[in-house]
Amino acid sequence: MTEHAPLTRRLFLVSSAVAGGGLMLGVGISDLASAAGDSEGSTPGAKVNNWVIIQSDNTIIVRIARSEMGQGSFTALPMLVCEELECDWSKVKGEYASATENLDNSFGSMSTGGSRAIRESQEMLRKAGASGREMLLAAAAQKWGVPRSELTAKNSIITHVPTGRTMTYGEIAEAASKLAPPSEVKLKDPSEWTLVGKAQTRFDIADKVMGRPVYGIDVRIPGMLYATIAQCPVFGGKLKSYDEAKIKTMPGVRHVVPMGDAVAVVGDSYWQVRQALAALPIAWDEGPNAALDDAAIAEMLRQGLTANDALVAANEGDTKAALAKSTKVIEAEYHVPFLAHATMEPMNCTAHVMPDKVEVWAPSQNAQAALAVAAKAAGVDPKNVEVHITMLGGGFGRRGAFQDFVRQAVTIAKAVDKPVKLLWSREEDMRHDFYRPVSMAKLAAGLDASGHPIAWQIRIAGQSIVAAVRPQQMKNGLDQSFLEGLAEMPYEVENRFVDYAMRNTPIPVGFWRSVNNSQNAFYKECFLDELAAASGQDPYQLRRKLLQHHPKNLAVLDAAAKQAGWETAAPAGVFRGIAYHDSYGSLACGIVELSVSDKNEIKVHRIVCALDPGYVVNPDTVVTQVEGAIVYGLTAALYDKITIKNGRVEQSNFDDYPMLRLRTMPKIEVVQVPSGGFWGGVGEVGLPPVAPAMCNALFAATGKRIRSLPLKDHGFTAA
Amino acid sequence: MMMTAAALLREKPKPSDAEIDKAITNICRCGTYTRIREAIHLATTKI
Repeated sequence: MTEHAPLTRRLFLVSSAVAGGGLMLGVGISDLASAAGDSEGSTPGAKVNNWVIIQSDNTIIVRIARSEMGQGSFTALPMLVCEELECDWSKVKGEYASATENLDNSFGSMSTGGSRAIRESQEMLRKAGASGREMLLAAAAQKWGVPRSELTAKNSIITHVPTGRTMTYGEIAEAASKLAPPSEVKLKDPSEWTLVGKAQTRFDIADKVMGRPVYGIDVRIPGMLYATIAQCPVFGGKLKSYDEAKIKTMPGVRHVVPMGDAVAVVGDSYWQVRQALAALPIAWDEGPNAALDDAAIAEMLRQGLTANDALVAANEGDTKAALAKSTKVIEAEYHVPFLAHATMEPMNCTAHVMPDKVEVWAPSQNAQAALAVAAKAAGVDPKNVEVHITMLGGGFGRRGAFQDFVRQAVTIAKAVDKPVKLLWSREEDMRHDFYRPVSMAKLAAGLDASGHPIAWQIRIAGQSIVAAVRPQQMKNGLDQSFLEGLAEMPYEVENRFVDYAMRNTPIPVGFWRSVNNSQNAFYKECFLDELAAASGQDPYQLRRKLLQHHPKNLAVLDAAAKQAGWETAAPAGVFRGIAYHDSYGSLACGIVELSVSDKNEIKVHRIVCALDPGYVVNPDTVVTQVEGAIVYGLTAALYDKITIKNGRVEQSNFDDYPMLRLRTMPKIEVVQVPSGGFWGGVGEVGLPPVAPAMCNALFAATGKRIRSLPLKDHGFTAA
Repeated sequence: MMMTAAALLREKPKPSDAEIDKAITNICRCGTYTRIREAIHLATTKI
């Protein structure tokens, strides 16, 4: 849909509704025509199967289960369907399936995270496309009274080869939708793909440039009130009392809603409720954690590094003996801080609780979880809840496992009996995140006489996300996922011992882009660099040796080195660092090129990332996702940490939790080497190599070994 | 971001990379900065 499309009545209605602050139901992404008035599940057209609706004008609607948060799944998932469907891609539109429709799980998981959308859905979606195609062909065969084998399908046109007769999908879709689906379908070999693997323009880009998509913060419902919230600044504390009388007469103030550990002010505009909340006298029962600070947390972690209660995550060979007989033993301690998600769009949700129905508009990574949380908060049957997934202004894991913003909005809406849009301030968002956990690592490695690592011993002390979010996933008290990328790694080291002393703080933690890979890659890849330095080996060559029997991993390592020109000298003053890390089923290697002034001012010139995700659906999206992951990781490595004092987060906004700006942006080169045979995720894999490659490059430049982040804490700036 | 870029181009119809760096201080959490710079250069050929 472009700005030059003819002004149909529907398009006009929606445009003027948006201009007047009205609501765009449901979709929030392109295809304004179907957004106006249609709610999910009532789209006109022939429903060939769950995933494919075909309209008489040959428009194809593909249903989508995962949330679009800029990662391009809204386009890539339909590509998988359409590859097999043999339809005219230029007439394809995406439309969310709703969580209510999906109560019977007919659309599978809607949870969007873990770089899972494509790799978990691809088989189901390709089969849906193939099945739909076969049904269309079967219906055409029936109509013409000819064998199916005499028909071909391409670009939404069915041709009877012997006579040259044609018919369009639109003409036969209704009849096809009445047929039983085939019991099995044969999928194309990837070598036959004509759509998948080729860059396609994303459905959402034109609208985004024109400011059309409806993000959670954009939602407007007739009669809506605005709410904003203060949660107890000390984690684990509760609301004690507040003095509503003091703000009752402030302009626009309608209600004050208490909620256990928080209080919300509800009124006519965001500005008015923010002013009122700031003026509201609130007393908190700060609870047991009011004295908690970073020193106490560090003390607890440090104790964990030598404690006896660590659980074993990996144990191969005899590491103790191997260390004892090593020619050289290298030891080091590393640590990383809590990190915030800092989505550009702060937490928000709009809710309307009616006698017979609850309606929610949320920028959620998990429509099913949003529905369940809304139903519970309103005290209604899930089938009476409708969740509209709006566009997300960043997810990064914040909006998936936790639907606190949904629970709060529904609770407030129920209390005031009006539609309510809850908006958190940036400060509230920064201080009430579910952070990337803090951790410390104690590493030791033994090298033989030739400098080859023969023993590798790692103890990590840190906070488990799984213990808080999914304790049932733990086995015998061990959160194995905390050691992802460490307990198993492709490097061949004969004797390996990895154990984990879980040390949980009251600070809430959650899944931050690349999760435990974010710190584990830093520990592993910086330490490996130390081994290279200690034995006079080139860091790239050492990794080549360790990956020599793993051809796919080696190919990715080599592709990055080749692109970066690792084996040719860098220009004077330019230094390189390398890091290799697999995650989410994909293989990846990052190389950073930078310069450092004698005042410790870093200039990152270029970051190269090579990756093998098995198959690539939309190559341009792979580039943008890797670029985005690199920037996310680079920002954290350069500038960011969340610190705790008096049981509270000290940071509040982008002045004390800086974001990378355009002027600091390096050149990023993404090398895609999909080798086939597996489906790996792409959204997160670019991130883990960044921090270690940065630190390894800084070692090459300055001789200074960095063992903690952010780099700002070591006196480095990046202007 | 769009508004800042539009204002820049009104003042400097053919900005250099350094001028773009100085003027565009808006945050992009998705890391599209390189493409934004390219887009601004592209826009100067179309306006």
